[in-house]
Amino acid sequence: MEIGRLCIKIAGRDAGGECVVVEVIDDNFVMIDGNTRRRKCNIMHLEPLDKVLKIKKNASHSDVADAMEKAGIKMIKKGAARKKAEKKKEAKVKENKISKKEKKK
Amino acid sequence: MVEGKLKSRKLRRVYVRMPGGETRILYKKRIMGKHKCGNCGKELHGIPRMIKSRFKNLPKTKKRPERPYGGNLCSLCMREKIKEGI
Repeated sequence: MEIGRLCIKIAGRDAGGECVVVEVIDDNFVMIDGNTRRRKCNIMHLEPLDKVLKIKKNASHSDVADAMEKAGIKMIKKGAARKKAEKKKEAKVKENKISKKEKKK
Repeated sequence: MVEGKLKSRKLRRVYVRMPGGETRILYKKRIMGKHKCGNCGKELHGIPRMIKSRFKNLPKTKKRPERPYGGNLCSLCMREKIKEGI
């Protein structure tokens, strides 16, 4: 396990999400971030992939997100960011419906 | 003679000693069966066993583990399933 190693988490509620090793704490534990919560994680709970991303030690969440999107991995928006995106989608759908009705008239 | 629905063993029998000293049989609904892993058949943890009507009233988060395939697969089978998808 080295810094920047792309992994998939295979245990817990974040299981199935891609993550990047941000810091190596000791033989058993690493710090991860990405499509999971930023948290300390046992190495046994990670399945390493063959990619290593270029990030600094203790890189921030936004840095990790940029690096992952460059590597072709979609970031899942969570919390407030997700709600914003959903609202935008809903607004678009509503606009489309209204415009269609006007066209019919 | 008890009613037919009570003889069919659809309901479980609970022997209760009443305050007057006699024992009476109470007929109660059965507790739901153990949930098992869909892959290996192992018993699943984290799913409470109670009368089904009561189980339905629980919030979703108390009915199953909060992980992918929670309540369907055991944790080990879930790990293998995720590894297959890589």
